[in-house]
Amino acid sequence: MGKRETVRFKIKRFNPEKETFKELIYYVPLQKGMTVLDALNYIKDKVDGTLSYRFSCRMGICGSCAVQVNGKPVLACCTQVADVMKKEIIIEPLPNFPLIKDLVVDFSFFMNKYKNLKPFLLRKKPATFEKEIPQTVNEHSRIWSYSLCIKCGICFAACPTSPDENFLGPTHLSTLYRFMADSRDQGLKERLVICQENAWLCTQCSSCNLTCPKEVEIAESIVEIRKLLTEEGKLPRSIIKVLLSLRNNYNPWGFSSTERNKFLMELGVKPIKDMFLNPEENHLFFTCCTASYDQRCKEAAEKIVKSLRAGGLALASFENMEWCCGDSASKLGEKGLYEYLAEHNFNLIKNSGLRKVVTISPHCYDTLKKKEPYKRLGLKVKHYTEVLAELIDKGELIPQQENKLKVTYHDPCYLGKINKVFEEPRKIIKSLPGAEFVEMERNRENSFCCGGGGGRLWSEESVPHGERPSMERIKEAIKLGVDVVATACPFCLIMLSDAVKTMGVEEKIKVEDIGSLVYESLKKNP
Amino acid sequence: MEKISCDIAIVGAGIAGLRAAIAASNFNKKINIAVISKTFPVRSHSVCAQGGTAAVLRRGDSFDLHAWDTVKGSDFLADQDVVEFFVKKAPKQVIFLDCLGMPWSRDEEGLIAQKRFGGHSFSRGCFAADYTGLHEMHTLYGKASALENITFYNEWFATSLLTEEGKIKGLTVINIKTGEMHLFKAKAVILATGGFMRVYSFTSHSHTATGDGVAIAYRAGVPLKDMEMTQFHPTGLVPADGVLITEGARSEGGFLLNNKGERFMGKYAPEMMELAPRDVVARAEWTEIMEKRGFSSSFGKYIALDLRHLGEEKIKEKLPFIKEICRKLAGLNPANDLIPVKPTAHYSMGGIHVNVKTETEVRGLYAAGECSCLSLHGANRLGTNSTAECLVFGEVAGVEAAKYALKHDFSEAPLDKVKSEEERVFDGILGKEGFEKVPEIRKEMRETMNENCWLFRNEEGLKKGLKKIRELKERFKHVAVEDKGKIFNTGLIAALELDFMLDIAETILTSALLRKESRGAHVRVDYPERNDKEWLVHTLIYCSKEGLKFNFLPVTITKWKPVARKY
Repeated sequence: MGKRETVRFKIKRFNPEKETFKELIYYVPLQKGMTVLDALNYIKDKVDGTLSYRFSCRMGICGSCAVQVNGKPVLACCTQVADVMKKEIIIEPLPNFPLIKDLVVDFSFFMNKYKNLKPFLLRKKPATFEKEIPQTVNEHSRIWSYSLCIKCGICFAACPTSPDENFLGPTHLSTLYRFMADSRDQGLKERLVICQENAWLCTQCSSCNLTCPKEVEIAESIVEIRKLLTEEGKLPRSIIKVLLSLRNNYNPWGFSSTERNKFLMELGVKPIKDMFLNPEENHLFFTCCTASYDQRCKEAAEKIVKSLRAGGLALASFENMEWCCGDSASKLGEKGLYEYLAEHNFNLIKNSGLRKVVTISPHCYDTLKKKEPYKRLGLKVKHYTEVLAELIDKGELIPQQENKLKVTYHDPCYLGKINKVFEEPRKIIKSLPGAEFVEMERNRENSFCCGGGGGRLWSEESVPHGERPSMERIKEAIKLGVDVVATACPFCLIMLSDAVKTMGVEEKIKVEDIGSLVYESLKKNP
Repeated sequence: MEKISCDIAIVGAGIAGLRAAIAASNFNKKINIAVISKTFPVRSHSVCAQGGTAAVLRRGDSFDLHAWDTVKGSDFLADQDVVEFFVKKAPKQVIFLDCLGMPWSRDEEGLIAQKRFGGHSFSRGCFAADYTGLHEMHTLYGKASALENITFYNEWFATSLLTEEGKIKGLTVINIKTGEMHLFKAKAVILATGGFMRVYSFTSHSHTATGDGVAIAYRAGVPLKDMEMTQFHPTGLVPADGVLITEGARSEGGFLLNNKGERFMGKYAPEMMELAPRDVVARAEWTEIMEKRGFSSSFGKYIALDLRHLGEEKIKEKLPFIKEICRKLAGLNPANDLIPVKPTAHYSMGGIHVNVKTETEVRGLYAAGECSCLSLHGANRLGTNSTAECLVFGEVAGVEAAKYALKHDFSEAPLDKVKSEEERVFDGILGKEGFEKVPEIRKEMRETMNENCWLFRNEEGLKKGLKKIRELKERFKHVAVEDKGKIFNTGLIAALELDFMLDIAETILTSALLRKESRGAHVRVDYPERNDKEWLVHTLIYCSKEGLKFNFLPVTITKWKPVARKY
């Protein structure tokens, strides 16, 4: 046998009797097939018997051993040490739960609110328990995946909105939907009452889906709930306004569609009308509604366009013929409206012959790249950060102007964790002369949502209770002592800069779009 | 010490405990019920049940057929009156869960689908893919959590039963979160604490399956029955310390192969092949391994479970959990790879001696589920009969305890016993400055059981094992808990569990020494034949001041005389 590898674990400990926190280092000899739970058991049995954590089934079904490993909530028993190996593996208790001791958090409130869901079939006539209630294979398959929740608390720990007491939380909403979707259940109206106020609080950041050990599509279940609420007309007023504007103005902002994309033409973006544009040479520039109508985002968009143009990219736009990509309508549960908007854009793009697309918003990016009907066009969709990084890489764009700045980067959910574009934005920042790049504690897949997605940006009724996710995020950035939080999404830009304003820390920190940073560094470059 | 009064205290919140709570609640809304569980209910080991729940639902099947399969599977040690009662009550439990919302897998007509499990001669196992236990648990918990007269004491650990003059008075319980001991005064107590296969090192059982309820009953003088009857499940995942791979994998058509690529079950059970009862299959596997026809790996010898011919789609649809377990715990894809398996300690047919009404010999004390022994499974349990048992007899226990509680008043609990229990736990274990460590003794206990009380047993090994366990019990007296805090002291709980398991291991070995024959799961190589003349009896084991005592009980036979068992 060769020399055995040793793994370094850093475990965050809390002693409730003394109310003290400490971080302790443990070394564990690595064994083939060793899970994080095996390592914790090794530590408890052989090194430090005072370590407290929960565990039971060691096969990923009882949900006891959920902990945070390297910033991501996981089941310790189903996480191979080899898969999370770094210089050291950091183990912490689940966030969003009150701490009891070491890795043990308090699940009481989480379990107690379960009964409020009425988690059993509601029938018009009380069941006599004499006969089975038939359900077709198809009807069964509609509830199956949602019924696999093991209540481990991982999605709740990952969710940016779960600290909000008004929010039912991802676990409970998906369980609620599991009963709403059950063909044997007759209590839909009663169930909708439980969630009609708070289902709109979800930001659709997908942290729940991406961390669920049973791969339950929790975010989708919340969209389905919204769909049912919409069908019943149980919508907050501001959401109705957004949907109406999408229907009438093809954007959620309530502005006239004729105003859309006016600014682009002055920047040398070609109009796509009747003239033939070579699809090899031209990129369709898909502007987000937010970048068209929100002043801050529009300014950022201008700088993005100027930078792309400086790199020699030929951009074309549908001008005011472009409609919202439909992401917001879809995430608000208005499937019909989504199809209406998407169909329009689909036809425009199809007829234009253009296949290379650059988007500003990660939400348009996600929609055009992955969602029907767009998917059928086989578009080559790129986010502008991917394009800028490529241009810089090839030397077609050279940031020269030195700006001494300490910069961190906030990963937008739809660019980062959902579409795995992590490196390009970082590469760009690192290429800027004078910029010192530092990571936030929560980055890449473990990044924290700004709180603006899923229609949250527009819904006044769903004002969060307690601290906004965006403010929490700004605090995290301030701790790093950075001058700038860079980001790459119109929603993040609005949410984070609003947070800076609300907190009154404009002197300390600025929120900038990566495109703007690039543009500033090009200034001297003719 | 804080006192808590309840009409019924249920210890354990797995399938049997929750079913009992719902039954008692429905029986009378005025009864106040405390469900005491050392974990949150949905963390109970019942969620690990994968296969299914047996029930006679369809034309072609019959109660007699289900009963006969069960009796034959038990190697004729089951009490046949209990079996007949059980098979008649099982269907209603399946319907009950369906009406609560259980997502049973469906057949083409939209009815509850069924498949055949080992030792059954009809497809009567209802299932929810390979997540049956998970769904039964969450369905029951959903209902129970919303019932007003049930209070959950989650993460509370029962340490002893308080009895006097053959009557239950209550129990002592530690609130793990505060570390404080509480006196629960109860008119009736139901034990539903599950199994104790954690006395072994290679097991399908959760870490929490430590038999606490069995041990506290035993210490209170309640006899344990047929403790030698431990079941070894044929398919424990070898690279993951015996994690369960459901019998459902073989129901769906999986093969067992030796290192020559042969489906060796043909030699041992030519008719039922891989779907023979578990004792038969497990023994066949072990024989293959001993005769050098097993595979070798760094995790030890194994047999191959082959699902490859089922194809990716069928595996994904019918065995999604198995697919996930193989991927996450062993890095395998069952559609492409053989699954390394061998027998794993899985279930105890024995347990707290109860009658068909789940009554123990102590008035007001009931037991249901794996911690109890009815005896329904005799010397070998059939797959899908245990979840069915938990449901049927969970309900019986709930109703019987409710009836009892309505007829009786609270009586004073013996405070001297409470005091001595406090001393045992806090001075004797937590406060002690000893030199022995819980993990070391626990490891030695498990290795001892694996070595000396596995599938094939003999007098020499059993005696050696018993001697070792008794040494470990002595050593336990010098055990020290490293963590001296009160709040959420998992070290203290582990010590209390080990103390219980040492008692249980001793009873298993003692009973195994006692039964000088081979029957069902209990094989004595020094007494290789079944001996109906002398051993068609249940073994009872008691704890008394003078030490262990034994007794025997006749097996109840109603319709089926013992015959040779062939599959």
